[in-house]
Amino acid sequence: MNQDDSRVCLYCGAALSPTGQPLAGETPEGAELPDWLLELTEESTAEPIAAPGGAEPAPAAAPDWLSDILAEAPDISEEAAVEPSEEMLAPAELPDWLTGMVTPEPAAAPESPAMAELPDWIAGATAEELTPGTLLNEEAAPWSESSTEGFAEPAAYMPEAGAEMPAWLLANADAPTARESQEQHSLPSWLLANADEPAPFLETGIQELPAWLLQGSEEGAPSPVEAEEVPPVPHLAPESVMPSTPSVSEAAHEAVPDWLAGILPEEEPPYAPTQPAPTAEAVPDWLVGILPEEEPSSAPTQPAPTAEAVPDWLRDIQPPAEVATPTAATPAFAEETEVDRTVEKAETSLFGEAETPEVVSTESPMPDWLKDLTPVEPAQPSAEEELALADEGLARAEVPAWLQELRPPGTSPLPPLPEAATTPAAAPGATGRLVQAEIPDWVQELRPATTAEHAAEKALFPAVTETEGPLAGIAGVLPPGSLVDMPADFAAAPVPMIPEPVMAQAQLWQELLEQPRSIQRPVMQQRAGSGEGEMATRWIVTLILMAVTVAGFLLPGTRMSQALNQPHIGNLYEAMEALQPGDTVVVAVEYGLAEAGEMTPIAKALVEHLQAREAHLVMVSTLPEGIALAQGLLVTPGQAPPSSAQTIYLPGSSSGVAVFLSEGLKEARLLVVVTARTECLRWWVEQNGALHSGVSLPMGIGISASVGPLASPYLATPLVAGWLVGFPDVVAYRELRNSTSAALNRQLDALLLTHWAALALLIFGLLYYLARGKKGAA
Amino acid sequence: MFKRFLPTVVAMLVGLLVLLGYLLPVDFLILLRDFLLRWATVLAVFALLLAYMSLLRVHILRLSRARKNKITSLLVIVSALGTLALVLWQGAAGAWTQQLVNSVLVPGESALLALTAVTLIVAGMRLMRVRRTIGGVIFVIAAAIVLLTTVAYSFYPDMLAALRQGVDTLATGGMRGLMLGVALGVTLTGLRVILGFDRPHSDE
Amino acid sequence: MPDLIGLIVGAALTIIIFSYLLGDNVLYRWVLALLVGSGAGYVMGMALRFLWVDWLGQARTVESSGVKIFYFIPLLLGILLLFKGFSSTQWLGRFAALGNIPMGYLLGTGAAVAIAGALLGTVFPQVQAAGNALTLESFGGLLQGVVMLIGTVTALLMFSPRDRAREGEVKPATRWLQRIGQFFIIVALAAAFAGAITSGLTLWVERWSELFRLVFSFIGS
Repeated sequence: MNQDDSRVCLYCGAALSPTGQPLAGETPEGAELPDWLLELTEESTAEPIAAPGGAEPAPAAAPDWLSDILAEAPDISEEAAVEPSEEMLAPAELPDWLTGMVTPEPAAAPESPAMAELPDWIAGATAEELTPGTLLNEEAAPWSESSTEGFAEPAAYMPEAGAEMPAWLLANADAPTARESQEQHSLPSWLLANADEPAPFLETGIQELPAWLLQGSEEGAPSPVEAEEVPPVPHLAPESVMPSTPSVSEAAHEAVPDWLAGILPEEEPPYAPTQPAPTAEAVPDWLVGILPEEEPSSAPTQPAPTAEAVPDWLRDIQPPAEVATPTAATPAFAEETEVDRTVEKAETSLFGEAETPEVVSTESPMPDWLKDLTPVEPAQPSAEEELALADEGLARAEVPAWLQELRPPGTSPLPPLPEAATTPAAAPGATGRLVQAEIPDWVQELRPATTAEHAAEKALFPAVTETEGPLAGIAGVLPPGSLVDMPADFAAAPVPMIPEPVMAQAQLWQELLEQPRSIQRPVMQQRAGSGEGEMATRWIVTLILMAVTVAGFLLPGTRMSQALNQPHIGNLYEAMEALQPGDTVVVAVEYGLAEAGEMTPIAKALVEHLQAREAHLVMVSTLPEGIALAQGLLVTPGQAPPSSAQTIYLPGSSSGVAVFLSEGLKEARLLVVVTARTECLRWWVEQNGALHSGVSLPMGIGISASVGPLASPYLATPLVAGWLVGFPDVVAYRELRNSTSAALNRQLDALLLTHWAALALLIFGLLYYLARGKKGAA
Repeated sequence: MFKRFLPTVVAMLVGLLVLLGYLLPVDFLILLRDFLLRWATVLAVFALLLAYMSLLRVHILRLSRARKNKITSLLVIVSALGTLALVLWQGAAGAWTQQLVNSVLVPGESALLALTAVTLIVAGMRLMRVRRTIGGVIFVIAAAIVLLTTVAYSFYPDMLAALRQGVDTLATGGMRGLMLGVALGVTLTGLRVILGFDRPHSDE
Repeated sequence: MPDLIGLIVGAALTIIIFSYLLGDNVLYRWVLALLVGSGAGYVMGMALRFLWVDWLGQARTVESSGVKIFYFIPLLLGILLLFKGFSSTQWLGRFAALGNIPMGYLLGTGAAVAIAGALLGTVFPQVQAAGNALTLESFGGLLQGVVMLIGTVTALLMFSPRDRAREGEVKPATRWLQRIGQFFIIVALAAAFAGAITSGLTLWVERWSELFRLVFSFIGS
């Protein structure tokens, strides 16, 4: 452990705060600064470009905006003074981004809302409102983001008591604890992080500002004095412009470390018409080398430290040559109820994190690796060039996604920046200042109209003050949606007249809806008796059918049914008999599994006849299940399937039929269609007629009883040689072939009886309901 | 492009070529027609595959999410996959496939269709309860005559045959008119598809 | 023995399904699910066998690569068609629009085949058949032909939207034609209704005959 009065760390060579250094706030001067910072400050005052009061700014000389900020500081410092305890700075309570680099076991951190939860653009907006202080914030916000990139949110790991100030700043203000920290860590982690991640953070942050905020800082000339006159903007405005913020007090000034006060200018700098540029004092030396040389008079500058001002520990750091590319983290927005507090903490955090690099002057000697990164020709841009650079920067800004969506039609996304421009050293707008936000013109047009050219738009769309969210209190920050969404050729459509029937219907609905629930409304209900009656009827019908079926099978006696040899049956039989052995016959099996019980006897009668005629059978089907049924037809129990038969599946319904008929019927003599589906019969009949007009194949048809009446027009065409309809025709056909059986006859008897039963039930229903209707009418 | 334009162009082009193959006796057009129709048959198989996958997906989702009828969905999935495997293995002529068809599928589905007899008879009985019109009476009487004459019996067969022929004449005349109307409607609808007025393939 | 087992299984399924006549029940729903799944699986199996055995089998026998393309283009189109089975929330659902191309192909060919079939296979032959029915061989035949022709024309007039559009201006003759057309259509539908009952009754009887066959087989054994 270093001695209390040691100024340099024995282990790492870092400058240490003197022992017994008062806490921040207790001494107005920069006693709370570490020595190495103090030295930098002292030496920088001797520099010719040093801004007045840069080294020892009196608290009273601080501008108003700073005073407002400082007003918050006593709380911080007091809290820090009340509890400057070691446990607060113990490694376990260090932020993770610090401890994570050194301590192997990161401490569990309490959650606290902080700036890290603010979106970048809010952080940038906050910084923009402070013209001089912007220098701090502009560099601080990205820095903090870049340094915390990849780590946990730093503010979230800060203790509640000192949450307004980052731990490392408190460590600077609290010498003993800082010394302890330095004893444990050979190198301040935050500097290590900075050393590892040089300049590029300057590009971030402000680039993500919305255009209107960027312009607001440019056009609105938010000088601190004016900023105080801004109406309350509790969420977005910095502490300096918040009316609710306590006024400036001495305690507030004392709460600010001197080194911070030294950073701040004594007087307000002249307002720059363009984007406030970071000055040299806002840039750490390791960054200065990357950036082009600074204009001496562009902004109040910090006393430039000499080469000796660079601490030894920093000289020893030899960061890798490559420059880490910053990534602007976009933390989740803080809870609205915590916004005020969050902004407070965030402001303090930003300030605290930002000032450290400022103590490094542009004239400080640079390491070689940094010199390598220095632009070859750090040209001093003129005013016009600055404007041009600013415009170019605006044009190339990274437009946030929500602005991308507002891009007018016809525009294309901006081209990517060239490689050289994306690196901090070569950034055109990074000549010692923040990179200008690059926002295209069409986005600029979306900002609140403050000039005369937008007067008409203002008249049309008066600025609306946001009432909630992070923009609460700010008027005109978001353009009305209609301004964006409305097409150029928008014309108000006349309100269509609502027809009277629709109005009447709407009124009826309204009346119905206005009725209280207690009113009984008629609701359609099924009568209880009807369902039971239907079920009873079903049971009766079932029982009757079962009875007559059993009677048909079991009753002995003479045969009741008679198979009539009708002409169409005889015609089909004769067509079959005309076949010669070896003739090709196509049999289309077009019925499904459900219809198999009815259709299989029909198909089997025909196939057996064809097999008896020794015809070559080609069994086809447009139904997949038809192939299995066709296989079953060919196989006779106890016999091998005939080798002369083949089965073909024809997918594609009518297309499949057409393909088959156009290719496979060169030698066929007869086409037999066995089907229980009307559409299948239609396909075969139609395609047979369409493809072979004039030379169509003769057809034999076997159809179910349900298809018979529907297909009767097709049956009566010359193309059809004959047909069978239903089971009775099968029995008649078998009688022609003398192949009937007793089982078939019994089945036909049962079918006859069931038909009689069905006939009787239909007639009964007809008469019953006719008679019941007459009674009802009477 | 892929949603409307290209499918419409394909439908129109293919439809016209196939139709020309039917109407014009040109060998090239006939060959082209058969060529295009063969592709259509293969695409129809993929349409079946699509339907099968849809059935499986619905029941798998129901199995995983629904609270009721999980066993029903499980039975559908298992039987669908099992039968698929069996048919792929043995084909339609396989012994087990034939056993499945003849012992399970045909009896079960035939019994289902047999239930319609009871349902239709009950509906025919209650027809006059709902629609007490002259048309309803004609309907029931015509149906009764057809039922009476479907299965001939030994008594007065000639008389019944003549009665049936009269009904068939009326039915055939009416059915032919219906059939011609349907055919004309099919022609008109098909022409609208081929000419691009209707684009059902574009989810319209 | 397998036949007996098949008979028993078929009889059991028949009884379970007929139990629906007494009311809906769980067994009925399970058997229904079994039939639906088995039917779908069977259809799919046959379709896949067609693709693998028939279509690709032919493609394998072809040596010319140019001809092989003929076999693989519809497969590619079929794969595109499968994209339509994915919902838009799924990754493959983005390509569902590609499935419209084979769908357009299917509809185009289907429409052409339907038009050709309707014109060449239905309209022209049926018009010819309606004329052929007017035979002068006998009075009965002539009467039958006239009745059928009247029925065809009047039923066809029922499709005419013109008469339906001007309800208030229907002439008495038109009204009578409509009534005649309705009569023919009612008789045709009644015949179809009776045919459906006949089919159902045929299946009913066939199922009961199978049950009796099972019973007799047990009694006989």
